[in-house]
Amino acid sequence: MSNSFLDRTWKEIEPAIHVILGDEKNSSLDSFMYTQTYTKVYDYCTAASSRRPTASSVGGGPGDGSVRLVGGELYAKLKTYLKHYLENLKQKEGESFLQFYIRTWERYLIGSTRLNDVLDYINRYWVTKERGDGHREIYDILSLCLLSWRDYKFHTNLDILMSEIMEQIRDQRLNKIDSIGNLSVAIKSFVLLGFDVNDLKKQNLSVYINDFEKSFLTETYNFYAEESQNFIKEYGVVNYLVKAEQRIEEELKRLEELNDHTRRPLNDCLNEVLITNHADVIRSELTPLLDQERYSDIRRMHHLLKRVPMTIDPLLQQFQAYIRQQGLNAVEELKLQLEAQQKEQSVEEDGKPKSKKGLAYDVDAKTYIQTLLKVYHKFQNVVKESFENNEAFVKALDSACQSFINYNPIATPKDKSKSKTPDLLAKYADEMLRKKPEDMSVDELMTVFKFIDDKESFEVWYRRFLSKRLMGSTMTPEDGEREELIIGKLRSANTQEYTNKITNMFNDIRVSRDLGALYKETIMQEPNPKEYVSDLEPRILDSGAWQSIFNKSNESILLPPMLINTQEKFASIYQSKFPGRQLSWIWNRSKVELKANISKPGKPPFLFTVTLFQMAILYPFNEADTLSVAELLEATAAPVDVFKANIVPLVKNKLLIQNPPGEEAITKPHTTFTIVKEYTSKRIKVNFASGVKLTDSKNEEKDTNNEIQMRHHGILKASIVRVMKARKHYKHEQLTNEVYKMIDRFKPTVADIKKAIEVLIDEQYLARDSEGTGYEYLS
Amino acid sequence: MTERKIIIITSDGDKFPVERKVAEKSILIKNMLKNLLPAEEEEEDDEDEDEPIEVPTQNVRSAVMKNILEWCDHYKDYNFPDDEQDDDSKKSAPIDAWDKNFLNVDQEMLYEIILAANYLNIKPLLNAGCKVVAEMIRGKSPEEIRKTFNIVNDFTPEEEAAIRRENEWAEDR
Repeated sequence: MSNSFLDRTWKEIEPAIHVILGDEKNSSLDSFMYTQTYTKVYDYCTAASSRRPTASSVGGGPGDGSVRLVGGELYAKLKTYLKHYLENLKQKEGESFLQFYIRTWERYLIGSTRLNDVLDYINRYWVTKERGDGHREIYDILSLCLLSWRDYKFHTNLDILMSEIMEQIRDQRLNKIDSIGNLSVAIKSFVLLGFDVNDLKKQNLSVYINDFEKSFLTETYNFYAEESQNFIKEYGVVNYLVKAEQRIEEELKRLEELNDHTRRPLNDCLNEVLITNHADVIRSELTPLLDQERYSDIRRMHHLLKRVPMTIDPLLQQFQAYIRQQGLNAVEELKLQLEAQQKEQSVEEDGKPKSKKGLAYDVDAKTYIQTLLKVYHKFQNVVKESFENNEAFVKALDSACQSFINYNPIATPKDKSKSKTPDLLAKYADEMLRKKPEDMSVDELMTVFKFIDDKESFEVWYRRFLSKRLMGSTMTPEDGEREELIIGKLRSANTQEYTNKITNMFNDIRVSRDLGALYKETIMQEPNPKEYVSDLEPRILDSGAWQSIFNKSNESILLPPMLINTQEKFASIYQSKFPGRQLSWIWNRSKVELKANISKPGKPPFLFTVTLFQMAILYPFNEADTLSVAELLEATAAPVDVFKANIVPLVKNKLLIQNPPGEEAITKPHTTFTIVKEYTSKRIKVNFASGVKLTDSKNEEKDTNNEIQMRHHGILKASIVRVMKARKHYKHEQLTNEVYKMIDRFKPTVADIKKAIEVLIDEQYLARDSEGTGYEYLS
Repeated sequence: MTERKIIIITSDGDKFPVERKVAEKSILIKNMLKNLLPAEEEEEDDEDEDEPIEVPTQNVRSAVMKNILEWCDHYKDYNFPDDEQDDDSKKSAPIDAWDKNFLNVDQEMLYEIILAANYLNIKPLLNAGCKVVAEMIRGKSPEEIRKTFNIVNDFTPEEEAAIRRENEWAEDR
């Protein structure tokens, strides 16, 4: 092929190429120049191709006999030209390099796209063929233009270009320039300058990432490392929270100007430099902010920190510890207050301070529970206001409350003592149900109940108070509904089984009422109904649920003769209805209403409410006016302390005259009691029963705690047996762990578990294994 | 908005006013219009609008251009699929009946249409033209082919025998 044809063709198209890429005068391309240039290239390629067979010197690639198309010579000339063209672009006076780069790039990109179309014939055949033959160093015209730009314009000026871009970004961050507009043109050029040599159409961010993104991120990091440090030092953390949030927002907006690839690394960079690096300092503000109740500042803190999840964990711990401490402080304060009150009272009473042993105060259940609730509600609100009710913070609140509600100076005065909170909560429930004050509610009760570790303990105490309410027999239907409501809530918060005994207690009362009616019917049909007490209100109680009642049930008595018929009749009715059940009589709970004809003449008889014991004491006075202690004890067969407890109200209310008087004399055998002939009282109804101090009430706490202990022990034993039945053979530690996990109603101690195991070994459910480190189940 | 008029000027100076979508069957013209006309939305001043844009096609004479434009007009509302990858099915597909009839011209004109289709970058027309030529070759002996295309046999008998031997495997038997 003659070189002159090539040279001539190039000479003809070169001026047009110059115009297309952009010349100094910015000449415009017209349709004539466009098609003429296209045609020249077409003519060259087609004419040269048709002459191919004779020009053996320019034969196909080494070794292959395939057709070789023409175009390479023009391609090579263009390549040289582009280098020359780019190297000779002139920076205008007063123009920064960045401005120069942006100006020329915008024009060059348009030119390159056009040139790609004008020189389409080279692309269509020669380039396609070359690339098809695996010549990856050959590009389409547009790519060639961009690559030339990369090599002769971009890489050669990389340092100044980047430094000017970074400078501009820095200026922007310092608020020196408003618009970033043209900067994005430069940044977008980097995206186009990356190539995947195997697939030119595929976006390749290598240039963008290596030459721009890396230094952008470094620059960003350094800028904010300095700024954040200075800002915190100068304006403090609270102001910094606002600043950092604002900075992050600004930078994320900047992403619009960048390739989306930068989103993650930029986020990571900002999170690290603005948050992680200062996390400790930021978190250290939590306590003061909580102290000052600045919840919106805390919200800001959380909002910022949650961008980096790992900074949240320590915050949670701090928050939890804070709540717990607040709870402990509140209880401690209450305790001091109660102690002070107690001191005052004792001073008033005796004129001098009394040093009681141990607990020098009584805890009012309502005040105590409300103190706990106040802390809970306060921080529940913080969780809502500052932490968007985030689950993790709700959990931290719950954990903290669980801790201080169960363990605090009042509930556990000593380290290892059993928590008194369940007892006090049961008392709270009792007070609420009896007095119905407006500032106590079932919801509040349930809130605290949720946190109680030892639900068993609560249940036992609850039943103890319930038994008193039920026995008081003053329960209205509305009261019954309230009781039911609480039982329902306890059941759904726990299990059916948990409330079984409580429910049974209600059932017992109902069944008892029916039995009372049955008894009445029966005696009406007797030949001589007057031999029986007509208004009998029996209470048939299950000993499991009503355990508290059954304590001291062995206090026996000789029944006044007039009641014996009634007792026997009722027993026979009961046995015929429930054959096989054992009926035991608990005399110390019985009450009797007596009509006493010892009024002044002309006045109606008195109505006395007395205990059965008091009735037994009074009964002999039908025969004699004065009786000695010895005679009365013989007639009643009551234990001395029971006798004393019952006779005291009779003496105090001046029904009996004691001789000689005085507390010590009450139980002396020769002391005598004389019944008054004419009793005086402002009321017709006199209650002597309420003055009787039940012996068990003194030891109520001890008894209840014993019951709880037994319950715990029983549950532990059952759990151990269940585990061992499944495992047959188990190591001590595994067993302990599994049992510990299994029991959720209270927290057994290791000693409790050990004790239960010992008992089970004694009872031959378990045996130690041969190694002595575990147990075997004996079926 | 009225569409800017397009006038195609042939090598022998004739002017063919055409609709834009007809002209754009030629990728050469389509790309050129894209590059030279400002984006349509920005075309706000009516000044240039009436002025037709002239498209010189230096390598096509009027007689051929007339045919080409007839073809383009026929297909003006049809969108040819992008045949970036020319799969074999398309290569072996039979020639469209209309195309076949359209290309039923004397050999000289057929060649000129093929060349013009290549020059103007009208791929479907170029393909159809090449297929017509291929049909002319199919099933013919070398002698018949020489006759059809008016080719002088410049092989020596020895050369011809050697080529036959080399290509014996491809003989249809």
